[in-house]
Order: sequence, then structure tokens, then C-alpha cells
Amino acid sequence: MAIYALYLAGVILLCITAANFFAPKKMRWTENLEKTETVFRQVFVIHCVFLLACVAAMALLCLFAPQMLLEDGLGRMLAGFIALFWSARVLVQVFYYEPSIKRQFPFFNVLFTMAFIYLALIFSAVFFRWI
Amino acid sequence: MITQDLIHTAILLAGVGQLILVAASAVIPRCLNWKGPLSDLPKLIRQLFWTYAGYILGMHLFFGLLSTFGTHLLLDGTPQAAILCALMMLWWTVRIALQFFCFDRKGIPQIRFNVLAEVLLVALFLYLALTYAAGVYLNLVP
Repeated sequence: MAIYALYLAGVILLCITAANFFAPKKMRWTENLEKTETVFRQVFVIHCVFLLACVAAMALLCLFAPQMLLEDGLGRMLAGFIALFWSARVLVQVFYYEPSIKRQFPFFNVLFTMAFIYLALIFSAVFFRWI
Repeated sequence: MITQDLIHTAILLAGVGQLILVAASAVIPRCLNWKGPLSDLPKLIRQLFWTYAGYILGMHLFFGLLSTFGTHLLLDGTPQAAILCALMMLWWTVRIALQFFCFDRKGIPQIRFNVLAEVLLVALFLYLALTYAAGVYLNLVP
């Protein structure tokens, strides 16, 4: 059960990674970031790339070595960290991002919120050994 | 055995170094005067910027806590330990490369404090990359 839930989490994480390749165009990053200093633009893009790499790494872990997360010690610690990562992302999505912006993309807002909730729940369940 | 003890201590210190980095990150926005340029950005981009920065800080906090309080776990010879050490090695190696080959430092005021901070940061990144490389080695070679 836990393995299959983690496989599904891996697929969702891959989809989130892929979606991030389209987000810059959809949200007109180039145009918006032109208004600021070069160093800022670079920090923004680099943070984005590092985080995207982290999400891709999580996806690969769930798809190719999910049993690693089910073991005690580092595996459990990693599951706990990923659970915190996605729980925080749910809070950011619901409480931090501007409602008017979310209303511009209602379908994607619901889709991503549900994906983040699933990830937060699954990794919490793995950490607490609920499944 | 001596090598193992040495790497254990080095990883513990790497953890402390990353926790100090997390604490020091709180003053970076003020030192680099982020407030002005940020206000020019649309709200969505501004929110994304802070979210990404917060997550990067969270990653550093995780690395710091794990290395400080779970040092033995990072050197227990399991695939998880090797992968995590490799991830942190890669993370800090890329960070050094970015510092020299990507960032446009012309926008950063070259006052003495900023120059000293940059030297210390690069030294820390180098130490972290080398320490976690040693961790990978110890996990892979029994």
C-alpha cells in the first residue's frame, strides 16, 4: 500500500516538475523580471532551479527507490522532511498567495492545491507509519 | 578509524556551519538592500521570490540539523546516507560554481563588510562540498 502511494507521489512530483517548465511563460516571468536588477533576476532563477532539482530528486526517489523512505533512520527522517516541505507548500498556496492571482488560474489552483495536500498527507503517513 | 572520526567531526562542524549560515541569512536582504528592487516587481513575482528564498533557507536548515544531530546516520554506510551526502556535496559544489560563473556581482556594493562576507561564504561552501565528498567516500568504501 505505502509503496503504491509513493509511486503515485512520484508521478505527481514529476508532473509538478514538468509544469514548472511552462510556468515562466504562463506568468510572464521574463517580462516581469526585466523590471528589476540583474542580481535579483539571477537569485530568483537560481532559487527556482535548485528547488526544481529538489522536486525532481524527490520524484526519482519515490519512483525508483520508495522502500528507502520506509526504512527507519535516515529514510524516516527524509520522509518527515518531505512531509514538512509539502505541508508548508499547502499553507503557502492557501494563505500566502494573493487570492486575485489564484482567481486568474482557478483550475490550476485547485489542481495544485490537491496535489500538494496529497503529497503532504502521504509523506506524513509514511513518517508516522500510518500506512 | 582516525579517518572516520575526522570525517564525523568535519560533518558535525559542517552542520554547525550551515546553521550559522541560516542565522546569517536573516541579514542578507538588508545587507544587499533587497527592499528597493523587490518593490518594483509585481506582487506574484514578489511572493514567488520570498517562497523560493524561504524554501532554500529550509533546505539549509534541514542540512544543518541533519548534519549536527544525525551525524552518525550520515555515515552509517547505507545507500540513503551515501545519497544524502552526495546530494549535499552536489548542492554546495553547484553553489560555488554559481558564485564565480553566474552571479553578476557588480550590483553588490563592494564595501569591506560585503567583501569579507563573500570570502567567508565561499570558504564555507568549499568546506561543505569537500566534507560531504568525504562523507560519500566513507559511505561507499567500507
